[in-house]
Order: sequence, then C-alpha cells, then structure tokens
Amino acid sequence: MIDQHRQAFKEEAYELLAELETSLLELEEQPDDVDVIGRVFRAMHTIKGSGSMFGFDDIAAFTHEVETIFDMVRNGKLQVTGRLVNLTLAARDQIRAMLDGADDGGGGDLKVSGEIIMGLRELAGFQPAAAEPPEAAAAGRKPANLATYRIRFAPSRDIFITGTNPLTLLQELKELGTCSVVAQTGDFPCLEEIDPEACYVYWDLIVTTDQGENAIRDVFIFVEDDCELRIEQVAEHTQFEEPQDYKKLGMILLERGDITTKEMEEILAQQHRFGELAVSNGILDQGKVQSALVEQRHVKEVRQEKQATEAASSIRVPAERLDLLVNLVGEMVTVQARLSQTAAQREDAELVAIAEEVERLTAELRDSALNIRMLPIGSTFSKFKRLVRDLSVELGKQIEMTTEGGETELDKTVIEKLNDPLVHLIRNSIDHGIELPEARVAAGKPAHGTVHLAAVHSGDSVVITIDDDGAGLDKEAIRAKAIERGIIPATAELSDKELFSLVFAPGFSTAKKISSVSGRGVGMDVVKRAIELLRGSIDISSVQGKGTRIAVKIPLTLAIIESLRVQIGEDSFMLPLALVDECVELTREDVERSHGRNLAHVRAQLIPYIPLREHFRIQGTPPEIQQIVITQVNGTRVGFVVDQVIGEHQTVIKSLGRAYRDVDGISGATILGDGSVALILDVPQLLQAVEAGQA
Amino acid sequence: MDEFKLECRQDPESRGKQILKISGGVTIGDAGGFRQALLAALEAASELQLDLSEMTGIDLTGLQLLCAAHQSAVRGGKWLHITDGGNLTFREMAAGAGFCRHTGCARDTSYSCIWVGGEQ
Amino acid sequence: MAKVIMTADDSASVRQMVTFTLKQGGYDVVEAVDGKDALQKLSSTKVDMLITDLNMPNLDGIGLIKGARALPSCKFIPIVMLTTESQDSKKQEGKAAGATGWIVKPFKPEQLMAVVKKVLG
Repeated sequence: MIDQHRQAFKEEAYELLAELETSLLELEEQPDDVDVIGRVFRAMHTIKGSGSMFGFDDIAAFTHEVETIFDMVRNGKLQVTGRLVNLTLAARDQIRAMLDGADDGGGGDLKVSGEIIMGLRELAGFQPAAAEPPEAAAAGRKPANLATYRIRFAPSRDIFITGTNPLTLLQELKELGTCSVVAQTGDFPCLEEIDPEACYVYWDLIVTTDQGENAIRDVFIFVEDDCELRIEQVAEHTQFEEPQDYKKLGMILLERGDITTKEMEEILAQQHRFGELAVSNGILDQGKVQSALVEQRHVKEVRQEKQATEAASSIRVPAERLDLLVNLVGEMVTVQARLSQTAAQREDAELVAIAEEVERLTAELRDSALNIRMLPIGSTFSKFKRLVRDLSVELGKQIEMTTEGGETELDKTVIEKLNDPLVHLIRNSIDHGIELPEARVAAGKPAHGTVHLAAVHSGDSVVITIDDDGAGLDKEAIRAKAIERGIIPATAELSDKELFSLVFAPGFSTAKKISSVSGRGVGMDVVKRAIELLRGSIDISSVQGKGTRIAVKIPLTLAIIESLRVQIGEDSFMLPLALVDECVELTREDVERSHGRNLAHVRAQLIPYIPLREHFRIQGTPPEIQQIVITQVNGTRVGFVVDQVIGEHQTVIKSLGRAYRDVDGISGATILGDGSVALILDVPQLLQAVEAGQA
Repeated sequence: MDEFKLECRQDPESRGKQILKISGGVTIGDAGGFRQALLAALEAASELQLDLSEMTGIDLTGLQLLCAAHQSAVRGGKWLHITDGGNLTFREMAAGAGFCRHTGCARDTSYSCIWVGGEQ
Repeated sequence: MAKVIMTADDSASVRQMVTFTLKQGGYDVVEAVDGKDALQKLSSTKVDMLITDLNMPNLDGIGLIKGARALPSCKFIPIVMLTTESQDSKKQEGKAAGATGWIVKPFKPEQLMAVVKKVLG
C-alpha cells in the first residue's frame, strides 16, 4: 500500500523537478518575477513536505535547505543571482539523483549534497544550524501514574466560527479515562440578549487518567491559545494511596479560586452545610458548588473502583469453592477419559481429533485448577521457628532452626495435613536428637545444635527434610528395644535401613523417659501413617554421633494422581505410579518353582510378592502369564501380582465414603473412562497387613 | 442527521399554552431560527412546552438556547418545560455536555430548571 | 450517510494519501488541486470538513480558509490546515483566518485520523 503512495510521490516529484528546471531557467531571465519565485518555492516545498510523508527523509532534509533559501528570496531578503540559480539547478539535479537511487538505497552522493548546501548557505550569508530532522513524532511519552485532574475549560465566545465543536473535545477527553462533566451555565444571557452563535458555557471537568497531563493538553491543542484552560492535578492514585477522605468542599472551591479564604472562613464560622450557605449567601453560583461536589464524588468513586480492581488482582476465596472447582475438574477429567475412549472405539477421526483437543484442554484446566490451591510452605516453616525456640528453652538446649525452600508450593490441604506430622518430627529431633550443650561440647561439637528444615521439588512430589546435627540414632538401642517389644526376633539380621525403619513400628519409643515434648504414647508410627495417608513416604537415615535426617516425600496434590492401572479378573485397580519401580512377568512355572513361598527372581534378587487375586479373594482363574508390579516402599521392594497391566492413568481420587473408610488396603476409588469404578490400592498398608498376617 | 424542523401549535386543551415541537438535529446553522421561534412562542404563551421527543441531535448552541429560553420564561413569570418522551439521544447529549444537574442555577427562582432530575 | 471531507492540496501524492486514509475511515472525499478549485467546489458541494495545504498556486490555504468561512455552508465546519514545522507564523495566520486546527507534515495516516476525529467528533 505505502509503495503505491511512494510511487505516486516519485512520479509527482519528477514532474515538479521538470517544472522546477523550467522555472529556474525563467528566473535567470527575469530575476525579479515574484510569480516564478513563488513557483520555485512551492515546488521545493511540495517535494519536501510530501517527501517526508512517504519516507524520503534524505530528500526532505536536503530540499529543506534549498527551500529555506527560497523563502528568503520570496521575502525579499535575498537577491536572485546567477550563482543562486546555478546552485539551485545543481540541487535539482541532486534531488533527481536521490530519487533515482531511492529504491535501491543509493540516493545520490552525500558529498555533492554537502557542497551544494555549503554553497547556498554561503550565498545567504548565514550559518543556519544543521538541518534539524523532522521532530520525532510523540517521542516516547512516559507512562504516568493514574491521577485525577481538575480542568476548567472556558472556550472563547467565538469558538464556533473557527469550526470547533467543544463537545467533541469533551468526548475526546472522556476517552482518556473516567470523566465527570459539569457545565457552568450561570453566565448565560436570557433569550432576548443571547447571540445564538456564541459560546457562553464553560466547564468544570474532572478526569482520572493514566495518560498524564500532556495527553489532556493535547485534547485542547487547537483551542488552548484562545480559551481559558486550567489543568491541575488534584490527586494521584498511587499504589500507596491512603483511602482517606477527599478534600472538603470549601477546600476545593478555594483551590479553584471560586472563593476567597476570607469568604470561606465566614461561611465556616456559621457552622452549616458549606455548599448551601455559600449559595444562600450569594458568594457562589450553584453550578460551582455542584462541580466541587462532583469532584468530591468523582475522586471517591475512582478510589473505590481502584480498590476494587486492586482487590481483584488477588482475591480471597473460601477454600470450599476451590475444592468444588477441583472436584468439578476431576469430574471433567473423568468424562474426558470416557470421551477419548469412546472416540477411539468409534474410529471416527473427527471425533478423535476433538477428543484430543478436549484432552489437552482438560490437562491444562486440571493443572491450573490445582495450581490455584498451591501455597508456599514457608508460612508453616516460620511457625516451627517459634516451636523450636520455645522447646529449646524448656529443655535447656541451644538450638537454631534454619530453613530452606520456603517458597516451595504444595496443595493447601496437604500443607494443613502435614502440620502435625512435621511438628512431631521436629519435636523428636529436638528431644531425642540434639544433645544438651555440655554433651555436645564434650563430643567436640558446637554448643548450639541446628535443625535444618528444607523443602524441595522432586518430580511430582515435594521432599521435606529435617536434618539435625544431634547424637544420631543408637542402632543397638533400637535393636534391643525392638527385640524387647517383640517387633523383631532376637536373631533377626537387619540392614541399617531396616533397623532405622523400626522406629516407625507401632508402639516403639527409644526415649528413656517420656518428656512433655515427644512421646506420650503417640509414636513415630502415627507420623508414618499420617504421611502415608497423604500418599507420601517417610525415610530415615542417621549416623551415630553426627545427626539424623528424616525425609518426607509428599505428592504435590491430593486430588489427582498419576497411577498405574492394573486388571484382576473383571476388576480394575490403581497403584500410585510414584511407588512403582517396574513390572515383570510371572508365569505359572515361576509360581510352581517357588514352592508357594511367593518369591520371584528378578535379576538375581529375591522379591516377595503378594498375589492380589488371593488377597482380595477374587473368583476365577489367573491367566497363564501374570504380571508382578514391583513397588518400593520404605526401601523395601515388594511385588503385587495382577492379571494384566493396562497402563498409566490420570486418577481423580474419590473418597470411599463412610461405610468403606476403614477397608484395609484401599485408599480410595476412581471412575474410569467407561464409567466403571476402580479401587486405588493403599500400597504401604497392604504391605503392613500382609506382614501382620504372616507374623 | 435529519433536517431541523420547528412546529408551533396552540394546546387545544389549555388556553395560553403553546407547544413547540422541535424535530431533527439542532445545529449552529439553525441557531438563529431556533432562537426566533423560541422568542415568538414565549411571547404568545404563558406556558410553553418544548416537545423534544423527535429531536435526533442537539449541539451546544441548542442546549444554550434551551437554557436561555428557560431563563427568559422565569423572568417573564412564565412556565417553560420540556417533554422528551424518553428521547435517549437528547438525554445523552445533555448529560454528555454536563448540563444535567441536581439543582437549578441561581436565577432559577421558580425551581423549574429544565436540567434538574431525569437521568444523571 | 457518510460525512464528506474535502482535501485541497497541489501535491497529488498527498491528496492520494489523504483520500485513501479518509476513505478507509469511512468518509467520502472531494479533492481539489488548489485554493481556487477548492472554493469553486465548496460553493456547489456541501462538505462537513476541509483539509487544506497552505502553499498552493492560484489561491493559497489562507485565502481558501477566508473564502470558505465567508460561505454560509462553511461558516462553522472544521477546517484543518497542513503545515510544515517551519511555519509557526502561518499557523497563527491560519487560525486568525478561521482554521480550526492543523496537522504538521509529515504525518502518518493515524495522526490524520486522530485530528479528523478530534474536530469532527
């Protein structure tokens, strides 16, 4: 499009240059002919003006120099001489050369241009500043803060005869932001005296805009020279604005100069409503009071609106509503799964495409819905600081707590449910872990101990670690206690890991006496169970004399998990994918070879497995080749035998309802794409139950 | 904008009441004629009703004339009032120009300001 | 009915650009090649706005503005003049002759439309 205009300009310029040549030759003959001088000037002027319009900036700048000289000639300040005509002809040729080369970027010889300009300036006997480039249009106007301006706009009486319609200016002003308009009509003459074509009205305008005062001035740019225009900023609506009351009416009127201090004091002395009095005393026209009132109201409204929008940038929502949303998203995921399944069955390409689209959108929706409930764990961490401080004072220990990764986000519900287990773990570290200052110094450690609390993302989980630099776990004491309590047989040979995990066994407590801090019958087993209910896991490691580390791994959210779908007979089950290590085949021969001991050889390792078909007493015969899903729980690898592994599945967790809440080995249910129900296996609990059954 | 048209008639039900119907768009070009018509109608009546229901636009000069006419009416002890028949164009234009207000101006001694009330 | 705008300019390329921009904006356009041509057309055609260059042969912009204001049909229409940055005195002269506003050359189509909107509503 613009090329078309450029082409038009070039054609026109060539014509003008041809005319210019003729005119210049004429001028040589008749140096005083005003008409010819005018023609030369206009040709230059048009080339300059149009050239800059269509992007021929170098031509415009060059021509500007020549035009300036001819402006002087035109005004009789410079005589036409042979040299001037020669130079101008040279300039004309130069413009032509610039035009010719314009499209391939050539654009004439800069040196020649310079020489011509120098010659012309010399001739004119002046040294004009280097040609100024055309003003950069509206050079980067600084963004201004939201502010309220008070404007009094009184057009001149004869504004209409210059073709100005003040109403369109008001309209333009309204486009800048929130605008209140009060017309002052108090100066109108009566019908008999009025000049119908004159303007008597003036306005008080209140505008709230973020465009700055210059934008307001721009509205009035054509009329500001011959009208009364006052623009004052009366309020700036920054982020830190105090929601205080706006100025008093009297103050506004005083600021506007509609009233004097003396008059204001007089009115105030009468202890009445200011506006009414000012009018009844004849000090003020009602219109002026009205516009001051409008200003008050305007600022108030703007502030309210701003507060409303600010509140909107972070809104408080009852947690139930979020839960409802997440539930609905869950339903959506379920329906989407059904849609995908149906689409695949129908083998309808169009439907499949739609289903894929819905799948993608649903995944996004799910992620953002779950995201809404995410909170940084930092606020919980800071609560523990206080706990550590109070406990250490009580126990006469010197303990410092450090934290890391407080910005790590977790589902709000998870954070809430984590609170108690974490408190318990920290108490344990302080009570059993960190030694008394004397003992620490004797062991060559600094007198004050450290408990370090850290949270870090790990895949779709968050790992929270509690490190202390205390005494560490006493392996022999644990072993002795476990034997004493009958948790392990006296002859048991256990790895360190297995040994440490004994502290999570029900009824185990290694503290020599029960203090007010830890113990009290609630053992680590409760903590472990609580973590498992969150589908998390807990892991303990310790070096005697150096300290203990407890790592709690928690899935990001409770509502939807990635799981592995398996099939036994007609029934589907879900295993949390986070716990699954691998899947191997189990043939009938394998089963026979293990002589009913339920052990599988997996890469030279013996893995115990639980045949779920038997465990859940499902009727029917298992297939020839069954599958073992090997899971890792608390460092132990255990397999679960199923008929068939179907695949990964987005599982929306539904609670089982009151009647089934205490069913062992099942943590919940989910609805599959075809509408049927699959149970979610509570792997840690299943293991426990089986172990208990064996013991 | 439709053509500006003035139509003045005697109210058949009430003696001394004139009804001036202003239709089309009122622009500055019509201001002189509009003023004359208002003067004549006020002269002839003790009550002047301005029917703006078919007005399709009014500029500043028109708004000023309405105000001035009201002022003259108050001065002459006459009653001037407007019926707009719910004409939104007129109301919007008057409000946009900032003419609508809560109370009349100082010279509105009869409390009959044409801009009071209505839509804010 | 679309509003009619006259563009008076001796530069065909500027006329072309102005016409194109205004038509894009939904206006009808009447072109005039100089002041004399413009005034002649104004006496027979009703326009809602006039955009004129200042430097034109036969009758320049100032003369055109004065002439237009003398016509009853153009007494109150917005008249915008096209000036170059060096013509501040011309701007004053134009306003005194009855111009509503001005556009400084070079200008972009958006700037032209903004001014048309400002004066025409």
